[in-house]
Amino acid sequence: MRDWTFQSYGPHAWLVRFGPDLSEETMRRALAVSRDLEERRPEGLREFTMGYGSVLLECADDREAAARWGQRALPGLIEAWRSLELEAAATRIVEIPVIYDGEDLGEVARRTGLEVEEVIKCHSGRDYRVWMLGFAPGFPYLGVLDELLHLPRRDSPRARIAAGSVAIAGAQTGVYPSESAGGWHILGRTVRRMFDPERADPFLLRPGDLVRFVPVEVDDV
Amino acid sequence: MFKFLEVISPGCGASFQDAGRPGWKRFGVPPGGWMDPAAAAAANELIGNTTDAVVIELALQGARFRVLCDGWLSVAGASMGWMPGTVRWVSRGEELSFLRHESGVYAYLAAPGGWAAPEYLGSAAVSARSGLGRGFAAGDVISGRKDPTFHEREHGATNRRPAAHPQTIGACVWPGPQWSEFSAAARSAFFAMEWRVSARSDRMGVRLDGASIEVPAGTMLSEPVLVGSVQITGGGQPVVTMRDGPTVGGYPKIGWLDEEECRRLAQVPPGGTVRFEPLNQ
Repeated sequence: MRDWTFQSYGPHAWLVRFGPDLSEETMRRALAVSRDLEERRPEGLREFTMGYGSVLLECADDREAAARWGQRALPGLIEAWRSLELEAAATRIVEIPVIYDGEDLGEVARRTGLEVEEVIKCHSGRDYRVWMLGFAPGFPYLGVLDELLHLPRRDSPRARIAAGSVAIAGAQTGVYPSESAGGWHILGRTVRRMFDPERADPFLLRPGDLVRFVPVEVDDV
Repeated sequence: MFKFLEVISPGCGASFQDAGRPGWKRFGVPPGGWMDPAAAAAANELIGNTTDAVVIELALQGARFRVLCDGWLSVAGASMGWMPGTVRWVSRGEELSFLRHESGVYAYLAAPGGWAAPEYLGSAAVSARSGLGRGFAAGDVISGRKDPTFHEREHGATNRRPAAHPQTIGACVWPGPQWSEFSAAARSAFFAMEWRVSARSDRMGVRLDGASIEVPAGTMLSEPVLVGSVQITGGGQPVVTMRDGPTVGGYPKIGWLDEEECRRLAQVPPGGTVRFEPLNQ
């Protein structure tokens, strides 16, 4: 906890980081904070957004009120987070069928020195925690990816990535919920919908869930 | 509901917008909403609406509509061949064209009582990338919520001077979360450069072209992003996050623009330029 930092981000937002790396402790702390904010809805806080081991807190646009909130409410909030119970094991395991025929599969194999089959086996070989939702509605940031598959993002993001694309970047993997631009490496695709505004619960996944990618052939779906 | 307009062509982009949907960022849903809140408010005020009524946002040029019934319309924001800041009577059968781009990027079309638009997660703001509604397509029929032949300001309505939309702006920048990780040379290059607004800019982000600036070494963890963040991509070019932009991202953020500066930047057309100025705190 000595490693916690917080910094202002414009005049009415603050970014709190729970550690310098992706340690299990850091990530569980972030999940616990997300649960705490969801339950308590602190007064004066307009919005919060989770990152990897970080949270962004936003106040109303009134700069003076925001400055007061940052001085008076924020330190107490952070203090309370130090004694939060860290989350227990996930209650849900969500299986996501994946057709591994992504356009970057060959390049990922080449750059990691693996065979294509090994890339698929490696990616689908472990369960991933949903650390946060972000980037696009329902986009799950999943970790932690096997180190064998760690690659930096593409230097130039693609203008168009199809909905359902399963992709990797750095220590992360995720699923694009809708067609969008993006800089991750695409390994495959799924028919499960991460986000549907017409559904009673628009979001398939919640922070804390475990996700299991199951390789399937085109004929299976 | 009063069927008022039929879309002949959406041009470079036309969609319903309102103040957006705050409160969903933690699910990855961007705030959305009008790119130029002041211009949207002006369009609504001109026609006697409350400033939060749903408007039609037009991008750059090319939109064409057929008028399906007589009534009042107001236009504010960018100039596309229809004087912004005006209220006009339009007649059934008339064609409205926004074909001649003169200045700015986003124009707003308001009808008395606002447009009848479907809502997603509490807002009518279309965010196609997020799967929240879609932009208009040829053949769409757009309805007003009230009889468009009356508006609250019919008698006292005065047209107003349109806001200026310069080709070149200076924008005041707050330091972003990774400000101190950029080298001194990168920071001075960032301020010295006259950045050109790319034609690939949209509601997600304003992309800027210029000499590439040096990015901090190492891969960053994805962290939350505020609208207005000046991110530097892997290629060393800035992208300023706009209202439909990602809620989290992994590019380092050298700076942040407040709502007023974002609004001004959004109205700089492709080919126009922006120079960043450090905040004078």
